[in-house]
Amino acid sequence: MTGSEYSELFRRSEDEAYRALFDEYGDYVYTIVYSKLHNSGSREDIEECVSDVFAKIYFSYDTSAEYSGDMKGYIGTIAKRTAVDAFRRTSTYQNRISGDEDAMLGISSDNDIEKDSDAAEVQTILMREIEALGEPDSTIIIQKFYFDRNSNEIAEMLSMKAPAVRMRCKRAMSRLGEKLTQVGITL
Amino acid sequence: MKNYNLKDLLNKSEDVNIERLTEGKRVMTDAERERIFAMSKKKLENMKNGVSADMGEDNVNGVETYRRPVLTRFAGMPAAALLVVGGIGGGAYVAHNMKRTSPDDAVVQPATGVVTTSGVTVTTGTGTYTADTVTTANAAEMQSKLDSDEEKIRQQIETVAAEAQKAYEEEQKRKEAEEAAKAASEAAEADEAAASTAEAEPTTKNNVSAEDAALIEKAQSYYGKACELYWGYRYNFSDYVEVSKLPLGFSEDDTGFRYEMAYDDNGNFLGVPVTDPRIKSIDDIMKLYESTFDSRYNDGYRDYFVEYKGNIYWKYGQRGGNIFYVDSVVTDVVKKEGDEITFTVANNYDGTGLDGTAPWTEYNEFSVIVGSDGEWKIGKFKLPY
Repeated sequence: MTGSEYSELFRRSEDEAYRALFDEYGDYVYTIVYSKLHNSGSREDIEECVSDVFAKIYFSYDTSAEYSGDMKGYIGTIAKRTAVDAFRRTSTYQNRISGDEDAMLGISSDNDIEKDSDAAEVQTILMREIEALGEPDSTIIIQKFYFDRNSNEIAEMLSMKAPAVRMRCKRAMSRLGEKLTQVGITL
Repeated sequence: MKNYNLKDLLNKSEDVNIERLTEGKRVMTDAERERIFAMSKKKLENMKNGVSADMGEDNVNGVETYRRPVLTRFAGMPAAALLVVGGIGGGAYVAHNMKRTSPDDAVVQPATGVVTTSGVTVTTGTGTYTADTVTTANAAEMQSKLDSDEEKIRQQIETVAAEAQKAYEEEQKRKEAEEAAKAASEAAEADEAAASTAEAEPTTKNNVSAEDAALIEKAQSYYGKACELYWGYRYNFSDYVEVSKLPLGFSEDDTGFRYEMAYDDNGNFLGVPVTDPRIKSIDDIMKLYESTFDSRYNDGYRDYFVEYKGNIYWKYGQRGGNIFYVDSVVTDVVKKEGDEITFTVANNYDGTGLDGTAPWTEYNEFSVIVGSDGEWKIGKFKLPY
């Protein structure tokens, strides 16, 4: 949705504009916020943050400016910044950094560059193979193992039955496992 | 072959990968969608009334449902059973004593003499005993029966009480174990959060120590230097070493040049011949590069060169920069591990004067390696443009 499309909709009906923007970018914002907060916040924190993002956009977007570009960049920036702020609130500074700097200086690095590099490569391959599973299998895998959803929630999302989701998930995992094994990765 | 956990791998994936994988797909349930949309509108109303969207930590709204612990329900069952059985047993005991001490009814004698009476009814917790005539022998038997019933009731009460006590103790143990597991889990999560923070997010703190402030200031200048050198070493290598250049040849007074392109015997492109007398091997180039960039992060730099028949060739390749890039600010000391200090860098971009894209900021990690002489080398680094 471009800025001018949103502005035009807004002039016609504010509620319609809010709804349309949310329908268009809700999942995108949720993904950004989830990626920032899922290790430190609860699902309620994530929902709160997504609603904060949209409230800010609704409130601050200048509908009098005729911006012809896609609003995705603007929305993504607000989502990232809001999520980072929320991340700071949900994880205290002490939880992130040990306070004893002298002790830290005495400890050798645990970073294993080779291992990190391997992991990045593995992740790239994994993403490619998940995408190659096709729909709805790739969505099932992502929803189950990244968004941590159960079969009922995934089933509702994909208009399927929960047992069907479980079955597809099992088969998709099996296919994924075979593909990854061929390149030396076992799950 | 290595074993990986799918959930761990996905959790550690770059955000951009996940965003790409979920692009155009639904990630929220209908219920979440409606709930969040309603919250957004509510917050918008608050903002119009002067209340911030993310209302800060001092404000509370919403309803939290209290759920009574399920375990207390199970613990209550034996206690309730104890009360019921105790009530019945106690009633029977009282009734039995009243019968035995009533002056109008038969007195059951444990004596051996023959005493006869009539119309005797004795009620216990386990039944009613009636006899038209009762002899002392029958009385003694009945007494024995009553004593036996009393004993059974007493044992039942004790059993139920013991079971209740046992259930209570087990529940306490379970609670303690759960609390210990929860504490351990929280500690592990806190550790994990601390570890993942460095790669996930910037960690700005309000109370930057004087030492960190000095480090940040120094890192800021190193970051600028890192950008310049990285760009040079990667894309304008000829600024640092001599390579074979040829005149453009368009005209006699033309001062421009072009790189000489060399090929192997099979016609495969090798690159631009390196003619610098200091460079005898690729190792010489790596030494030069690693005088600024630490070797642990050389990121495949060696692959930019090829050695063929005793000569070194630079795999020439240039690219344009990111025109949206504005500047970079080192904001924070993330961690200090061993000889490495890691910082957060905020890279600012703005497209308002170009294609109208609103300004945005991307956060990256930047690290320096502190040598034994105190000199810094550039460690983890990603060119922001």
